[in-house]
Amino acid sequence: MKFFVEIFRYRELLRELVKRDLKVKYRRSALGILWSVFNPLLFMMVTTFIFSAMFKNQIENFPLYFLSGQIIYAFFAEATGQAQMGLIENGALIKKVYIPKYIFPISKACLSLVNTLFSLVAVVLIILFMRFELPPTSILFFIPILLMFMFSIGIGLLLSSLTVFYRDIIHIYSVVLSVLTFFSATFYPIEIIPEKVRGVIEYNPIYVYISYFRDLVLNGQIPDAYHNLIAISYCMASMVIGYMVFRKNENKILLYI
Amino acid sequence: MDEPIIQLNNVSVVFDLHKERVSGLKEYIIKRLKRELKSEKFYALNGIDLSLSKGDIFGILGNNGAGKSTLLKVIAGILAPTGGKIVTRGNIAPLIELGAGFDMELTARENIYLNGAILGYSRKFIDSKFEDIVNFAEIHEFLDVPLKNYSSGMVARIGFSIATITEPDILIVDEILSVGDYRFQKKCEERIKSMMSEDTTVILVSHQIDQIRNMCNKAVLLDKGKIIYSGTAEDVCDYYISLGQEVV
Repeated sequence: MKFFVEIFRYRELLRELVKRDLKVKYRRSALGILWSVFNPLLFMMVTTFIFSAMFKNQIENFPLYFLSGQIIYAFFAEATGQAQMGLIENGALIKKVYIPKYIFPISKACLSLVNTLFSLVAVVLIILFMRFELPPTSILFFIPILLMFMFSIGIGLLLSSLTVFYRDIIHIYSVVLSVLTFFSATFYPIEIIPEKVRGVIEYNPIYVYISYFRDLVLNGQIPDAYHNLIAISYCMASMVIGYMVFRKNENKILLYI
Repeated sequence: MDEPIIQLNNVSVVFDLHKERVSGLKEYIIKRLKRELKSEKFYALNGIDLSLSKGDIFGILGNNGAGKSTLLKVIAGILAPTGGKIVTRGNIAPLIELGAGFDMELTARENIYLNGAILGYSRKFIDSKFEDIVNFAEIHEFLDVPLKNYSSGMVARIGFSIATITEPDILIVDEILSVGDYRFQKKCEERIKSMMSEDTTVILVSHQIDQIRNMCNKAVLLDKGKIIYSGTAEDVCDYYISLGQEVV
């Protein structure tokens, strides 16, 4: 596909943009990117303190259960939230130089991918600390991360192009994101949701990727064909829709930034 | 005869004045319900025909709002035309605003690599040209200072040095020669002149008529999005001046 060829051609720019964002984000902070490790760790401690007693019998290894869910959710939230602003933030540049515009939302998704990889260090730390024995399937942990990455790029493309025209979406989406936290089973077991409505969570794409990750890393099993099919379909659908909407609006973006 | 390097056929850019003022979903719906979404068309460019061949130094004259910058943006591929066809051959170095891609938080060194990537140069290539860029911009002592502490003239210098580090096939210059001090302006002019001898096609927008007269061979005069006069730079400059005198 031409799209991927062009992205490959602009890989240097993509790298420089990600580097710029990382540098700007952590400039003058003493711990720098280590914050990507501490942030989920601190959040996990608080949540463990509050909820682990509540769900003691349903979730073993609550810290790991929570941390894995939270990191995947935060990956999605950061990648799409940042990608949403990708075009608007780089408006000055888009007006002056020709660059394929989708580079900007994609670079934001790459930025959160880097952040997420650092956050995974937190998971490793907890695994060591709790002397948790990793199942062999955990070596495949990158698959759900990669799927989530592509899923986020699709959503990011969609959001970024629409947000240029309707700035209200920024505010709407921040509400959507916070609602999504509660529908992603990050800090509670999915079993506490009545079976009738459990589908709302089970088919929430964020939860699909979270449970994919947990299956591999915590439960030592490879998700079945059906689960895989859903995970891949979400990812493909998001990419195709995001790409098409973006392409359709691409030429008008300049006039609205 | 050579193939033209830039060819525009009946190119138009139309803005919808009304729609652009709607900035929110709510506003859009309300306006739609009230049927206030009548569009008012504004032709930023209207039926532009243009053909430039290799080595042309092309000047664009016109009053403010005549469509000069829009024309440059269309040629540079930044803005897609609403109608008409445009063909360009070769790589384009747009000097539409110097340092457009600079991040003020980053140092000059980091910005050189970032801006290089934006213009499509590889890291290796910038590495090899790094000295040249720094020498031309004369910023040796300040390489690792964040750009926000630079003066605007110095920022413009860096921008110019990066953008002209290769020999592009097409160089687009939008009134940037008025930045920097006198000595640096001369330096920029020299560099553009040396590019001219290297078969680069240059498109120049300037309000300094003498600059167009001295540097260009062809020119057009734009008014309200249309070409109202075209010919040799001499002729167009004379015509533009005579127009100005009529008004006064």
